[in-house]
Amino acid sequence: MTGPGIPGDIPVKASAIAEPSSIDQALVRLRDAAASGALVVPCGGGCFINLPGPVRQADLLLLMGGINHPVLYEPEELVVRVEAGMSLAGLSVMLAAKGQEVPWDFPWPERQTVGGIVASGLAGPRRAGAGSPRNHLLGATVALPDGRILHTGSRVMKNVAGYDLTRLLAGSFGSLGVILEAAFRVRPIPEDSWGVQVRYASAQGVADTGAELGRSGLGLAYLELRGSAGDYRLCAGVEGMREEVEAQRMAVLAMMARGGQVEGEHRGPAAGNFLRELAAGPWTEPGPLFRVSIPPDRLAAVLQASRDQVFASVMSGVARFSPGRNLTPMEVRDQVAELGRVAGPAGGWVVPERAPVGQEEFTPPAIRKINQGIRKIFDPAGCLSAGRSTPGA
Amino acid sequence: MNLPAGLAGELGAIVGPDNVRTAMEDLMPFECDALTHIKGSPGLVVMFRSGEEVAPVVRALGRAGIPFTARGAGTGLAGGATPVCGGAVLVLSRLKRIIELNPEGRYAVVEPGVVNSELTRAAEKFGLCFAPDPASQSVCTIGGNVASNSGGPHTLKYGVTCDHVLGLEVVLPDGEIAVLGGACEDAPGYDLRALITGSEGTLGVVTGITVRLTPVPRAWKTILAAFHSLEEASRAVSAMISAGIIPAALEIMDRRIVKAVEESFKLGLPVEAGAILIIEMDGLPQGMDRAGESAASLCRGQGAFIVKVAKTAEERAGLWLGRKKAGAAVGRVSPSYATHDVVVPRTRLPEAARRFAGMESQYGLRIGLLSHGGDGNLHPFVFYDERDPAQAEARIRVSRDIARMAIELGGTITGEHGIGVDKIGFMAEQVGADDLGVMRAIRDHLDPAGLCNPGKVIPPFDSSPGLVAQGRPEVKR
Repeated sequence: MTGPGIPGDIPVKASAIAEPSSIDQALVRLRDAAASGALVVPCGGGCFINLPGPVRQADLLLLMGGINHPVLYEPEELVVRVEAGMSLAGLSVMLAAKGQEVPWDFPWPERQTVGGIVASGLAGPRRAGAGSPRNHLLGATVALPDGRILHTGSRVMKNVAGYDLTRLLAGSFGSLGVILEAAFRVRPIPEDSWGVQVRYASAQGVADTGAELGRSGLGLAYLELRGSAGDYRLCAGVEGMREEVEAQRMAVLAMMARGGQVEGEHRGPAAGNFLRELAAGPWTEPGPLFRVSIPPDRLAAVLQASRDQVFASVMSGVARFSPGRNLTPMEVRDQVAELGRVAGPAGGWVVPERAPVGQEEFTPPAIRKINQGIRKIFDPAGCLSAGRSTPGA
Repeated sequence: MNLPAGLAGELGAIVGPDNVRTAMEDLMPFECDALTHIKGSPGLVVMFRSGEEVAPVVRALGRAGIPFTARGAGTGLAGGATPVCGGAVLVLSRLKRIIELNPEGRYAVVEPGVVNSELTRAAEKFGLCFAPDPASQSVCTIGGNVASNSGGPHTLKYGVTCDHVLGLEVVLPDGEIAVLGGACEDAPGYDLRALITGSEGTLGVVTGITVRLTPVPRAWKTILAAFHSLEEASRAVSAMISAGIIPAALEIMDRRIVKAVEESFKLGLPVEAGAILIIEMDGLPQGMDRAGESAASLCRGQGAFIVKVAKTAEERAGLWLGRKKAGAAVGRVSPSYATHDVVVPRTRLPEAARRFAGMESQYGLRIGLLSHGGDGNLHPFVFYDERDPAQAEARIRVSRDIARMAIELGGTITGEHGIGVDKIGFMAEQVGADDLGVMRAIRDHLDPAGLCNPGKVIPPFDSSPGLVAQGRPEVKR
């Protein structure tokens, strides 16, 4: 299945597809499939179904997009709980009616579902200032193939009763359970916002500016890097009250203009459009990606190590490199090793995404052992996303 | 518990003979943490000179079949560091090096014994801080914060410890060392950092922590508003949130707490108030006045009869003083008190207050309420006299009712203190059988021998609700 406008040419070849329109229907399909030993792949909008690697085998593709109702929304509590198939756009419209939002920026909000966003564990540019969906996740209802239903976390902001099963779901790529509902903390829509794009000719120029912004104590909403060797665009944004935005705009511009050339400023709704363009990130690029996690102050080293297109969230220390073409498994391994020679000594790590090589190969044995055991606890029969390259397990 | 002959010597060879204590007088300080009415009897105490010594000690204890409990400063309020099954207490408080403090990358790498406020003090010279600020921050350790996923008054805006942990080095119960994450985001695989954070030392011993540092706000606006009732104060909080104002802190003190503070310290708080709200906004100076005026106006609109806005740092400190002295004040006006940290949906605060009043009538004990009003985290203080068996019994019942109230109102039995031994009897009611089964299986997966802080968080199969309330945790291994 490849949706319109969705990148990647790796379809899911499933023997059967189910599109339940209620949680009860989903539970029946899951139970029946599990009882027959079928391999089930839960799927939201399918936008990141080829992450972390391609789906290798699916007997049943369980499409959750039809299960999309609000469950509870209490604006005064700053909490919302929805069914997992609700789209990000649908959620945003519901929250905006009360002047609130989830600060998540993804390329296909009409298609991407809340459950898919949780399962992918991905974050958009505003993670730098507002945290990621993982940070906002308060609780979830999850169906396990053997009929168990988990109600993890709660609907309140603070909860330390027992182990955090909720955040285990973030980035689990459907390998632990089928997410039926999820609860999040929300926030008021900022009164004002501003973004700027500045061009730099060198990785060192980018790094110096990033370090200066880091030291400045400014509360940036995002700091994103795009480009390739010798031609980089650093995009910064701030949000908040009008007075705060104006004050930070002046400070950020002064720092960024010293090492680069300002190409454009955006304020208010235009800043929102600018952010949406940034949210596309590397996801419209063809071929595999190499995700490099590296301490933000050491980003220059890894930029200098690759001539591929880079998409980096500077303050989170995450850079994705796109060679822009398909690679063989050996080429993937070579590239991981090459980037790892820079990232490793700097305290970082490298994993491939959308590649013909799974992430498990690059996960330390001790961690793999823990992950495998956890997976077996949730899904003893190995029914869920078994054909999917699973994260580190 | 009898220790195998030669164990102390074996451990002494790792950490140095002086750092293994077995004499009764040396063990007594480690019988409990700040939850003092439940105690355990450790067989020995191990101090460490370096984090590298932890793994071989854990392996030696594993070979001997001796349970172990990691301990930081011992400020926990749920008995998480109490060695209820005996064995060894691993004291990590001497591991207090800040290994790296990186202002450009806004992170720090620390050993588990670093005191919370010491890290902030070190980071402040770069305009940064460690955001989680539990009340015990001047003594509690970062390792303890990780173990209990600590919060604090500023959670509403800044989140809990888990939101600030980037990486962990953990000695697993089998003695193997796992490095989870680091100074950057997006480690592959499941979020094991989140699993370990808040696991109260039951899944391993944390020996290194990489934390995110947060810019220190450049300006504050602190407001004290006095209301006729808790309902009015609660409505004012709702009005602020509806207006898009998210303060960094929103603290509520009810009439009884205000009275206790005034009786003890005479700070000039309005004792006629049904509730006092302390609102603190932080950020840049620009816009702070407008935000402060909006908040003050919304409070007046909900019936506040006093609204004081701090104009100087001294005035700000003065407005906070009453809140910070509340615990001490309760200790001065009541022979004994029990505190709790339940959470309810914030808008259910008036309902919770009515239930507390009902409990007062039913059991004949007074309850004073402190609350992190923004996130619904309530700290009801039950005033009683432990020397009176009837009052002590009534207090246990009140504690049980408070926990059950939180569950009924859609909240949780603990928002920041943890389960420990204190609330283990309520876990089955709180999380349900399937969730508890998964938690138990995770624990068995990581600690099949059951040696890593046994008797905490996950109740034994045969535990019955309310076990805690009797103050006699029965732990079976």
